[in-house]
Amino acid sequence: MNSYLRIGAGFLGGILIGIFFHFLLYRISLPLEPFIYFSF
Amino acid sequence: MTRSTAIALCLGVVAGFLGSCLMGRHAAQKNAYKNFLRLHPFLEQETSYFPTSSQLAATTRLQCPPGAGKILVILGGNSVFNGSGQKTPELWSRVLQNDLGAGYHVINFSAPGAGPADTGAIVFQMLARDYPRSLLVTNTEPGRYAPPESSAYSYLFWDAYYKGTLPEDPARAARLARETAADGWLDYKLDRGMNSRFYFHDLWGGVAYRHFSTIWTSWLKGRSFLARSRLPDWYDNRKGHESSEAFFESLLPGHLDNLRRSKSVDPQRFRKEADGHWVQTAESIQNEAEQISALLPDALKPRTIVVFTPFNPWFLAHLDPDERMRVDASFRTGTKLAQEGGYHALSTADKPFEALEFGDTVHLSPAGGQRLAHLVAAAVQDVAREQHFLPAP
Repeated sequence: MNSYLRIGAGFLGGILIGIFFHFLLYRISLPLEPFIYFSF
Repeated sequence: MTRSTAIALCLGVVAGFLGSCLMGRHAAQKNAYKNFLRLHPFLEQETSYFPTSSQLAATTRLQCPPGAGKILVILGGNSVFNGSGQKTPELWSRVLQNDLGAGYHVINFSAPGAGPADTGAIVFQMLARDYPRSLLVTNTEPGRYAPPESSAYSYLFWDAYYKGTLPEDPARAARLARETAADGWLDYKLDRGMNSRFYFHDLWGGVAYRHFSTIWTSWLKGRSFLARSRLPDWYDNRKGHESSEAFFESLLPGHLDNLRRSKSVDPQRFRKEADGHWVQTAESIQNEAEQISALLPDALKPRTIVVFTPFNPWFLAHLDPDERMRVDASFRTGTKLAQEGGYHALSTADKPFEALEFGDTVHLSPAGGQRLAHLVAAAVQDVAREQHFLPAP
């Protein structure tokens, strides 16, 4: 039983890590400096 | 950790990542802005928020479904068309919608610093096939024709390009093939190329709009992490300035210096004739004709109106006669080149805009916005008739 729990927890933990990687792609692709436009 | 737990963890990582990609792909079609009026600073890159091309297209489809039977008018262009300084009730594009009536739907995707072929022009291209009765109205200053792939909003071009949602354009394809990584687009290509596969901007940009933002910005300070949908139009809570000569005086010399540095006054684009008049040099005309030609695919140019928006006459009066002649020549040449390039062009240089219809050098007060809306409405109706968008009388 414990081994099934460990496998399930590992899978769920993996899903969270996968979602975090996806979010990380978004976050690191944003420019560090915001775009500020001054015309006049 | 046992071997089976490690395998489950790895499978979970793959499942989590792929699941996020699928949710992003789904969100790309559904990420519409609610009650959208314009890309005010909380909805664009000035506050590090980058709407994707799919989000803007989805917003258009939500507001004006293809089967609604309306003529779709998409606005592109810069902060003048964005209504910089105008609050929501007085926004010029609402006046334009009112002038055009229920048979038209106006949607304003102009943005500060955007070129004529950015933002709205990208959405226009994406939707041109589904909306055969659609027009693009965009504005610029004569001489400013930044190509969308290398402009201030180039991320949006590359977003649509890599998603394969832009129409085929052999001239553009040839131009892009000639360019190299040295042109500085590599970061956008990498970012948006990956997004077209993994859809992380569509998913997390949608989350930032609907649920919570993860981007701290000095513009928002304590509200940085609020959902962008919960923030009001940036201009609505901003203290405005009453247009007056005293206020314009307070903008000197900075705004006048900027006007002198603008393309319309820049002496390098002009030469002085023997009779004392200024005309554009052959080289600048050729360069600008090529730039104008490259803005949009040929088939869409007759459905596009390029508006050369005006300068405040109060500031123009502070230029010397030679500088004013260059401004006149710039508007004349810009209009001629746009028309020769296959677009419709509307120059406002000869229209009776008054000093107090401006908020500063180029941005319009609510009164100026109304005048602009009336002019643009007339031009839109002319083009709609010419394109046979209107039912026969």
